[in-house]
Amino acid sequence: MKFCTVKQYFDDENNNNVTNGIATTVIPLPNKHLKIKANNKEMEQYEQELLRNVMPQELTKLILAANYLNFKEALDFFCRTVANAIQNKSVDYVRKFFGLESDFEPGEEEKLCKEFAWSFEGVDED
Amino acid sequence: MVDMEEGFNFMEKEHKIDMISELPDTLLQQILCFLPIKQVVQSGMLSRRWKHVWHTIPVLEFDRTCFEPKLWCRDRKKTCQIQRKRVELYHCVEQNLLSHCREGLKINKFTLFMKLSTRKSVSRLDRWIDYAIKGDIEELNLEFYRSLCKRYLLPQRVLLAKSITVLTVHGCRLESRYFDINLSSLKKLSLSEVHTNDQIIHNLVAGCPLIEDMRLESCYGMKNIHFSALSKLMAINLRYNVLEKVELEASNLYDAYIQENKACEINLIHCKNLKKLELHTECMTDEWFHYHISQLAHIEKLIIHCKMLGKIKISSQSLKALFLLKCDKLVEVKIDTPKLCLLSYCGHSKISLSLNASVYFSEACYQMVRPVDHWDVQKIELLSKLSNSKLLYLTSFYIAKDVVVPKELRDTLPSPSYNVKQLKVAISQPWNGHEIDRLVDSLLWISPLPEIVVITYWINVKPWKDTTSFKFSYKKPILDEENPSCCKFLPNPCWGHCLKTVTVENIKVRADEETLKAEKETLEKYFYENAKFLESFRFLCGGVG
Repeated sequence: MKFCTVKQYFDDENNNNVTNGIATTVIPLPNKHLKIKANNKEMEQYEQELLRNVMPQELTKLILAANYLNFKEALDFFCRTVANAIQNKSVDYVRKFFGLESDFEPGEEEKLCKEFAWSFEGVDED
Repeated sequence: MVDMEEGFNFMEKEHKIDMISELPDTLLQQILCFLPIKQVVQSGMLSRRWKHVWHTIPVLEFDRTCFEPKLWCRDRKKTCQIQRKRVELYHCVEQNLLSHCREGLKINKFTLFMKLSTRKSVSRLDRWIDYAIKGDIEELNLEFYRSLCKRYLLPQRVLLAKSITVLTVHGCRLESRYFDINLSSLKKLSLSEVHTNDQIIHNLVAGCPLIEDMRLESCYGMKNIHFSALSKLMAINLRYNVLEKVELEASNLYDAYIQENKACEINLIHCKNLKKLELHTECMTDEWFHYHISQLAHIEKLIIHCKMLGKIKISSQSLKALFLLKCDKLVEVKIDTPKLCLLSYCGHSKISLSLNASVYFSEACYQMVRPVDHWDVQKIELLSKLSNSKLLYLTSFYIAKDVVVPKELRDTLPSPSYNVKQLKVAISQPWNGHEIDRLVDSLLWISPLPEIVVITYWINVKPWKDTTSFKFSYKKPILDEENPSCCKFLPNPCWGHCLKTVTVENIKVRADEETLKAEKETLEKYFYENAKFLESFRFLCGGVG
């Protein structure tokens, strides 16, 4: 059911989006998931382990892979992992985390700051 | 929380690789869905590419964290600031909803926490709800706190929205003229602090054939409930509604929670598959109890709070967990339940308890009622009846001194809990370090061969408790006399003769060195003096603060 697309992927030779390494991480996930689904604490530990071993760039690739394989649980899991890493952090921190450059005009960014002033409360220290 | 610096070292990288931009907008939105709304909005400031990503995010949760409780304060400048922020927030919400409508996009979830103060805010809200419904909304959560005006009248459109699967409403009114209610996809309904009446509620329930989970709390105007033909209903929660009558016919109902303070007639016998039942009521008679429980052939978990019950008898082949709480008038309980593995009793000790107890419970809990009387023979006898269990949990002691069983009783009675392997005790007041050995001595009399003993003290800061736990290991007992007095009543020799190792672990917020040192010394002395063949004593401390 979930893995009909896996077969497709392996058959599709022109697929450059998902490397083999990524596939080997994503595919064993369902079993792991079923085992630790009920236990929240173990999930947290697994999440932390994952973050230690995997760089943000790889997480992006994992998200793409899970999306391509139509694997909703893995997709939610990876997205949530990224979200947890940047939760309550400042805009600057998030930019650095993703490796983004601010391409706004100087006035533009200030304007946005004012517009969304109501959201700048209760943010963690960097 | 993970230490990001350790894992990534991204701050030290020479060139930063922007990999997130590889993801399409929909996947970026997936990530944003897990963030609080304030951060979602801030994402618009990350870069040009991100500016509009959040506009069409399918989950919109403008919850309590967005809305400041006070609109006014003494400082005029600050009041202006607060009001300006409020206007900007409203603008955000509106903009977001409009973006969805304009692009014909679906809204999966819309959560709104709002204080309605003027007619303008009411019409604004009506408009927002319109947009949400146009967006084929699936989950709608509305929480209103009114100030001066009447409660918000929920628009009829909401009750005709075919796409809604989860509806939560707090603090509004439902009108009588809603006869066509059609919530054909509704699975989960929660109404609280709602002004309504019996007719509306019944029309509502009739209009959602797929309903699985229902929660009705403080619904003013509701008096009688008679729900039938709810073939998909699995869980129901009724509380503080001042109901006079509750009658449920739902063959798939497996979880029911009813807490009604007034005299309320309850009829659940047609819910044949009920597995979990929790009742808090003032007017349950012994007869009602017997009749009803005997009709529930599949009941597995039963929680009863009732001040009127006097003598009860429970006979069930399926019951696994039983909680008898605050049943102040209870004098006799006969329990015949071969599968029971959890028993929790909160009440006085002058009760006649008979258990068909061939089964070894996994957990038993005895909560003594306040004011906690001193230990007496009846208490100890009750305790021994509850002690055919692996884990025994004694709660509601006020101070450590209350746990100590007087010598007169210890000399004349057998230890009640010699089968217990794990003993847990909860005490309300933080204790004074010097008494720890008396406390432990008493606990080890209650349960003479435990593997683990845990003492919990409730405190008023996170994580709300301090714990001292003891792990014991034993070896073959060495008896130097034929019938030692310390275990004359016991089937096996007590810990004094076979204790091998003790590990004490303290998990305390603000652990102060002096107290810990005193505790360590006291305990070390106590164990080495009383366990003649003790090989090792370890004292560990884990600070939390």
